Amino acid sequence: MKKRSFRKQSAAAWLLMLPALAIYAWLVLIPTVQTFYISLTDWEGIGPKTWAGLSNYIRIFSETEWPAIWAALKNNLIWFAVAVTIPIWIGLFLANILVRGRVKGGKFFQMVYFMPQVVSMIVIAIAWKWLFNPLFGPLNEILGCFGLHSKAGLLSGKSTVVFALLFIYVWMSFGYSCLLYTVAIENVDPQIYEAARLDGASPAQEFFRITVPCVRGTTTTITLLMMISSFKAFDLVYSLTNGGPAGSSNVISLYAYKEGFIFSRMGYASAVTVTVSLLLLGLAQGYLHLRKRKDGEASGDER
Amino acid sequence: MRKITVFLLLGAMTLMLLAGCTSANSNPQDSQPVGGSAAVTPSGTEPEQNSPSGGPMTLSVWTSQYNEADLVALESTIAAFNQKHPEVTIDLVTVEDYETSYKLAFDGNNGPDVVYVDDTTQVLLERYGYLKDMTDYVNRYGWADICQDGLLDYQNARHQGQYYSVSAWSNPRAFWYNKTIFDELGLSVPTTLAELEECAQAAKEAGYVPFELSTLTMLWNIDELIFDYAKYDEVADWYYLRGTSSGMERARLTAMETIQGWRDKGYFRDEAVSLDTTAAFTMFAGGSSAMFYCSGNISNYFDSYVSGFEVGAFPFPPAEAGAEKVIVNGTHGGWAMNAALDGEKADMAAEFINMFFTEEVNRYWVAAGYFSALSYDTAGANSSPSYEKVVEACKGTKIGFFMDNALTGLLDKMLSLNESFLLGDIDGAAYASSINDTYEALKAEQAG
Repeated sequence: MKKRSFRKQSAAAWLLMLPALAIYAWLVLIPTVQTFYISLTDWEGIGPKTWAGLSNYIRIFSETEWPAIWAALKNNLIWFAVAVTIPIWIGLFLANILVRGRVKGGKFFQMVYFMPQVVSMIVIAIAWKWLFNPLFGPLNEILGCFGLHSKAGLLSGKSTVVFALLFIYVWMSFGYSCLLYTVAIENVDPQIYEAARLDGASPAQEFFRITVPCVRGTTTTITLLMMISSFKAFDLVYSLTNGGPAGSSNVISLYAYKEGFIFSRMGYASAVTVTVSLLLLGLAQGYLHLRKRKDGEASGDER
Repeated sequence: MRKITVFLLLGAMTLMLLAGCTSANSNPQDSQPVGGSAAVTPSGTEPEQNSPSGGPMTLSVWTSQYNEADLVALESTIAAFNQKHPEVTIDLVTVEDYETSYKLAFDGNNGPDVVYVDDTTQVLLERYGYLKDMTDYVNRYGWADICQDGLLDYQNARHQGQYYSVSAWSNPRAFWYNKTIFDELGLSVPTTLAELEECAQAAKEAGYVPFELSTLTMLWNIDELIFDYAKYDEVADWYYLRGTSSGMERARLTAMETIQGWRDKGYFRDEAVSLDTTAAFTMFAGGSSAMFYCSGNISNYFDSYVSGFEVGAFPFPPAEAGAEKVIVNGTHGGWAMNAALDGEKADMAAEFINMFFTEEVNRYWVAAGYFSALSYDTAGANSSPSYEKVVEACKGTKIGFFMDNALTGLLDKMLSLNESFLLGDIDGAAYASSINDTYEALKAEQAG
């Protein structure tokens, strides 16, 4: 009886999942397989696909291509280091203030912080481009008050452009983590805070000893998403600097885009994309494994 | 019973979803029908003969022209065509991401009958046999005879003497100058490179920015200087991938030394590397710059946004007085036919393309801001005073090249090098050497 009921439930579950699976297969699985196939060809984006084997993958590590790829990957690693720390901590800190501080109009602030997520990237790029403009924009003048004025502008300085882009990225991202943390903190049992207060815990202690550990599930999720997002960074860079000046803000997704759509080396671009995807998969799995181990150790300590 | 109903509904939904996704795949991407009939009709590999001779026929026409003025001119062209051929319906589609859309459409045997291409996209479509050789039509209609010398060859860079697309429009570049500043400093329009530098120096000493430019417009300045220092045939050989002469290499090096001299003398703004063309135009419109080198196509912007001073135009001057004036100038796209067309449909497509070479339709496009490359008198067709200034400035000049169009991807490399140069990371010699290396590498890859 139980087996039949289970089979019935499994069939029902599969049927209910079918539409989502169909969309997933159509929009994700099939293109992924196609991309892998294209990466084994010399396709220019038009015409027949001639078999090239692994030559595109070998080309990634060649003398002619690797320097540009490594330069782009370095920018992605900087992006990664910033993306998995700053917007997460800002979001957590602000969410704590909004929830625990019982700020009036907390929902309004949440909406304001989240606004960059819903505004079109083109609008954001145009607005920030003018803000950063060394002739028209106010940012250069403000930075000049701190002795950080740049004649060509922060977006045109090879040593400053990535950090200027990351500033915009952090501005765009912290609202998202703030929103997720708000929900997470609201779900923390208030009695824990009550007990801590009775024991004489300060607000800072409550934050670091109660809030942070209690929302670690959310932190894991957000960190993973930011990690992936840091390697997918494209639209901001493309809109604002197109990888310049002189390739100094190039990121791997833009590099692959240019190889595929500007230089018509679709096969090679696909190989780059597949390689980066595998790298990202490895990083994500490594992080989750590390997280699981740490959570396991923490539970062991608690026992 | 309720569960079964739910399952049946879900199953039906899934099937509908899959069916919808499949049918959506056959439509062109990013396209919205404009004018003509409502639905897009794919042409396929077999030419559609909708009707016997003289009967109704549909021609699908794809273009990347989307400005309001362009669309008005297109509608007028179609109306003029339909006066001659009322039995033919033009199914006009404007395509946003045209490079990708064209590739996908032609690869999927859904390419249009007539397509508006730029010279670089044309190279790819030609290579895979998607475009029809229109040389017979060019000879039959005499398009080359009424076109500016060299224009059709420029558009058909990879098949000199054969024509896979034709254009009736040129795309000149010129110097715009602030007449108020020139009058204040007692300067006259320069006719040689030396006079241009004198004007720049005078402007610099008076506290003005001599040349307002962006990384893109600097690229064209370099091209102009190469035309000044090299023989035309040497440049043509380089552009058409027939070989790089020592004269061409020397001309590029000399051009970069000239530009470097301008940079070192402070003829450009320090912030030039951070300016795109829009920002550079904005700075010029502010009245603090003496000269602004740019496309003639923005002439109407001068009428709309520049106030407080009068604007003039002159072509980039040659190195020596009286020398032939070759300027950066190419085509503003061209019209091509699907290689699958033959017989009546091909003839009718040629008839449609021929409309762009008639005097009446030519005036519609001049009114839309295009620069006619045909030998007709277009006086009064465009009401913009600035437009007329560019036409006057470019009279008698020879068509040059957009050198970055010589090979796919060359523009991206050149812009990156421009940025390095403006930042002072590389000098003129290193720039010239890098361009040569990049050119040879791309040529080996693309031209075999």
